[in-house]
Amino acid sequence: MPQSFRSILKELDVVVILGALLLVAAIFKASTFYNLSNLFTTLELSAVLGIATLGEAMVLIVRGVDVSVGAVMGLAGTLSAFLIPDFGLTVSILVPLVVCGLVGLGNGLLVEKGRVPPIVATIAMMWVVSGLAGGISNGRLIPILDESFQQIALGSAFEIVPLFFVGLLIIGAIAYFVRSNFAIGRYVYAIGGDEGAAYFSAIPVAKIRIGVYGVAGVLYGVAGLLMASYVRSGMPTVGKGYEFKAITAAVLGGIALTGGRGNIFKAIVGAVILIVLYGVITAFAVSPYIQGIIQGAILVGAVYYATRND
Amino acid sequence: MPVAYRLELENVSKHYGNTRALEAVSVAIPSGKIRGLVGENGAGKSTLSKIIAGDIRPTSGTMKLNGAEAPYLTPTSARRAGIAIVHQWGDLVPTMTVEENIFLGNEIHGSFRTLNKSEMRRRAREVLNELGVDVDPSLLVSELSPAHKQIVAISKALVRQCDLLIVDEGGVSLDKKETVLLHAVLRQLRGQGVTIIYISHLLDDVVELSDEITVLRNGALVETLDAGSTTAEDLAIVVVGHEMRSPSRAEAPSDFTQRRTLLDVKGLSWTHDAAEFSLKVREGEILGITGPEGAGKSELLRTIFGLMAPTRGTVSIDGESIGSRSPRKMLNRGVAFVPEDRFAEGVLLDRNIEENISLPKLSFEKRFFLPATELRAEAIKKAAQIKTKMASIDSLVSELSGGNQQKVVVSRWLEDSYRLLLLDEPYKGIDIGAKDDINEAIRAMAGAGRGVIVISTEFAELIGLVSTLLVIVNRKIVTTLTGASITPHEIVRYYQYEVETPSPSFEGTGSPAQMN
Repeated sequence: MPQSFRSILKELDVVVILGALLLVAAIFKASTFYNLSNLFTTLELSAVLGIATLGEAMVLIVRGVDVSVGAVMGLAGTLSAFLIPDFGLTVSILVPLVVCGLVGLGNGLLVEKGRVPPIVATIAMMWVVSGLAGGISNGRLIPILDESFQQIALGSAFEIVPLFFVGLLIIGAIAYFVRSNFAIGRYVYAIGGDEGAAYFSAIPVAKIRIGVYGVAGVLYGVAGLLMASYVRSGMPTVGKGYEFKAITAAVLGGIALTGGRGNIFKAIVGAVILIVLYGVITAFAVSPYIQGIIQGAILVGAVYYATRND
Repeated sequence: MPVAYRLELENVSKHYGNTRALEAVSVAIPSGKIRGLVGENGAGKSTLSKIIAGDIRPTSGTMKLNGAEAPYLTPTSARRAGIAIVHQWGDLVPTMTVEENIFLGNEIHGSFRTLNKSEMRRRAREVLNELGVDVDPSLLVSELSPAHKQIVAISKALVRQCDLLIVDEGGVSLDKKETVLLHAVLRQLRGQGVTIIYISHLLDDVVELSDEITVLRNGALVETLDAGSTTAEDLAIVVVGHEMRSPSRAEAPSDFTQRRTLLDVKGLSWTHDAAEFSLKVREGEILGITGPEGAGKSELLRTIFGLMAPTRGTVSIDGESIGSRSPRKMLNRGVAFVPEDRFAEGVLLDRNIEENISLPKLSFEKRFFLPATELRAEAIKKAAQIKTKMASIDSLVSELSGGNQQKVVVSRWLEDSYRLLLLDEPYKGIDIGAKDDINEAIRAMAGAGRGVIVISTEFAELIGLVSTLLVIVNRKIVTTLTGASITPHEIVRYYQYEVETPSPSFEGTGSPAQMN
């Protein structure tokens, strides 16, 4: 019994501790923090970051890293805003997702076939994609007037849970189901855990890694579309900084930067915590500069904690 | 009734450019037997096993499987032919569970291609039970003992219907109890008709387990012996070769007690268990250290040099105890180190010979401008001293042969200020000529009153070079041989020494100073 209790504690560890601290902190500013509209916003932003983090986490698990997250989010929203007046809702959702998937596959091909280090390949892709989005929007913000698109951000289940968050739960559940019930879930972890062993077990390492970057691209696309609905416009810079938020959230949730380890569900929890943290910081009216310092400290702290426990 | 052969190789050769890794080797492996495969480093054991597993293609020769002519194998066709290779533990993913590893790439599916986890867990438990081991399939592989890791790797091969199993360096890093367990598992498999090729450095291990033993030397087949009528000692002579290459040192002084002590190591350890080491090196003394792979030889040297943190014990240079050692501190005290992995820690492949030789001098240089001409002249002198074969001192190190690259590393330390040189496997992957040149340089150093420690598993090189030889097995100095007692027979006798009970202390026998 104490054995299993300890292993449960170990599973939850940093997430629980940090989450509890934040809730306590939020109580001090209960009036600002615990009101419906703030909670609603917190959940919505958690969903955006959570979905992006899921993509990043998958890439980290196959021992890669992806810093094109924010740029791809910007491209998805911009492309959608650009398409929606002429082609309608369905096309303006599907086309950006396909494009983002292709961008992700491009990352994967550069890494796997081009032997370009992941950080370099995805930085290059970040610039290319930002340029593309800037070109489409001509550097301006494209307002989205389509009501049903706007409605995505306004919608809720039971008046309280944002549709965004419902989306996150569905995507998270699918990811978790695939991870635990299909061979591909094991292969992804095996590649990150020991690439040589995976290769000698006849696992198509290259194909799977490229595919993971592709799926991650689609997930960034989804996050970008949600963001576009939230801000009711297509902005190439809307996802600025999300790559580092996603990496921080994933690490906070226990995804190992060395690959092969970490629970994707916990990575999503990491994203929620990060957003709650921003909410608390805002409620305490902390200067944005201090905010950066806190964010940096959390990233280093999480990595330090994780390597300590190895 | 004629013997059924699972695998026959005829005149199989593998050449890499001018290097002959394997030369016209013919072996026939009978079905359902355990065949030992032994030889020194570079004898061709791993080349041969990789050819059988399809990892590399032979340059020439033919292959038969179950008596029928077979084309050269690929990893996939080898697997289809029921051949599997179990490396030390390279084929398991440490971050995954036993069950996940056993079925990795070979999962059992249920409806809609979902994983049939309960069936896999059941089968995993079944396979492990059949092998007579009790391992929980839900444990992470990283939590297993070395023996259990090997058994999991074997189980992984078995669920793939393998009936020709190559076990590469199976006994290494296993203790006595674990070795017994592994042997039991392999005998059990033989009983089920599986053919096993067992590769090992540990000769008694091979003699005990195998039915027949094939010996390779320098890429060629020496002979195949019947294990029942062979002892580990006889085998060692066959492995090393009957005639010893190095001539005995004519004036080899074995009594150094009157000389000044350069290095004094007392009770040094890098672990928290009982293992600890004491040794002395005196002026003009060459101390050899040998023992099976993974015995702790490298760690000992690296702890002395400050590359690994000690848990206890002292290291003194000239009677002065040196705490919190680092390479810089040790170099400052005149102690130099030649690491085992030449590429990772020895040479800068893409820089020229001059820069490589001068490298350790730079950070001790006080002058503002580097004395380029001086460094160059000195590098040329050092390179010539060890007979480095090079087009010019400006040639890139990557253009040199392995032996000459190693000479570049050693030649850095050919000057009077380095009074103690530590060499970790300096003969690894280099030709005989280079070995002789390096040994000559070592002798010259000792002749000038400097001290040397040489670690090598190639004890043929150490015989006739060192005046004292420590044999380390399982992180214990099991014997100290001096002078005429340093013979292959003697070494191997202790090589096989299994430390079953933790001996109180080897401090006495570990110190050459207290011998004779």
